[in-house]
Amino acid sequence: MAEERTYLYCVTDAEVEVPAALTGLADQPVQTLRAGDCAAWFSVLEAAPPVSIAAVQAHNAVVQAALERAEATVPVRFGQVLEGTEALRRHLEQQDGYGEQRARVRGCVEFAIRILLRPGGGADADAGEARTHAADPARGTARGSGAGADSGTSYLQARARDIHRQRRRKEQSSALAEAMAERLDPLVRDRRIELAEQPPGAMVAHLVQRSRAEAYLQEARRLAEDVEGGRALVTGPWPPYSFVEGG
Amino acid sequence: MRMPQDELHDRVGLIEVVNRVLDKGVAVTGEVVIGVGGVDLIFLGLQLVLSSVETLDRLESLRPLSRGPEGTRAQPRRLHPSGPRAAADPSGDG
Repeated sequence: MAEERTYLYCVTDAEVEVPAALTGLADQPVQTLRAGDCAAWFSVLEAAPPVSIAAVQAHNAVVQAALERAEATVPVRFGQVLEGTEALRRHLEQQDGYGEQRARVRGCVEFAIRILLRPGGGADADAGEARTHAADPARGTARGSGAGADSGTSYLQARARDIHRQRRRKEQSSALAEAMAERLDPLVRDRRIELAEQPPGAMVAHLVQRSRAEAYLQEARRLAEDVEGGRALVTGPWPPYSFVEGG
Repeated sequence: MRMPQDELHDRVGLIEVVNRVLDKGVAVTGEVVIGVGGVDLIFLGLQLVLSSVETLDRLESLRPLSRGPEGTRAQPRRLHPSGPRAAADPSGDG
């Protein structure tokens, strides 16, 4: 008998029904396993789950379907497979049905504000100058026998400017993210800020009550139009991936 | 015709999906059977966003400065990396 792979998408409220035609990874039907007041949404796969953008989107589509129907949905990370439904039942019992996590996100959705610093501006201009100097052969030949040393010095100077530029980008990203988050604080239940180096910028994740989602979106989009030195894009509502942890 | 901003929004939406689904959410510790080649996917997503921003900047630099009546609206107070004081000073470069 082939080993049964139980692929888990999310844990949600027990009373929520899975839409009849809903399929997940590998076009397999989505099923539920109820345990107490919670239910796990899963599919049975014959082989290891495919790893692709399409598979990631299929996973998210199932979690989104739960989010639209349930007051509390705990998203599960991609690729979580258990060996059969009995293992899944044991897992739910061990985690107390993810009761604490469901309480944390109950009635809420997640929004994201992606802040992208504009390439070529601010600190990037310094770095461009550094690169130009480092690549300028005339600077190396002007000092005759000192060319090797000069090129080493130029390299170190360019490296120092790169480090300075990265530090400035982080400071800019952090300041923009904090400024935006502070203005939206009255409309959100919780927030997370992540800084990104490549592309330079930041991501602000907000946990927002559904009843305030429209007001939040309106304000977030207004703020996003007025970011100096970069741009910001608001996306969502997402399942609250950023506000559940562990397992 | 779709606006570049819409395309960028779609691509950022994709990267948000990829980042969330691969990197966030609860993990079934101790019972995971498979590993995920998440690095490549995340790298692909980041490249999509990066190229989108650069393309958008290029397209916007080709637009005429005047956009008619819509372009004449009052400028609201802008978010600025150095804070409100610097944002109010048009000569500051941050």
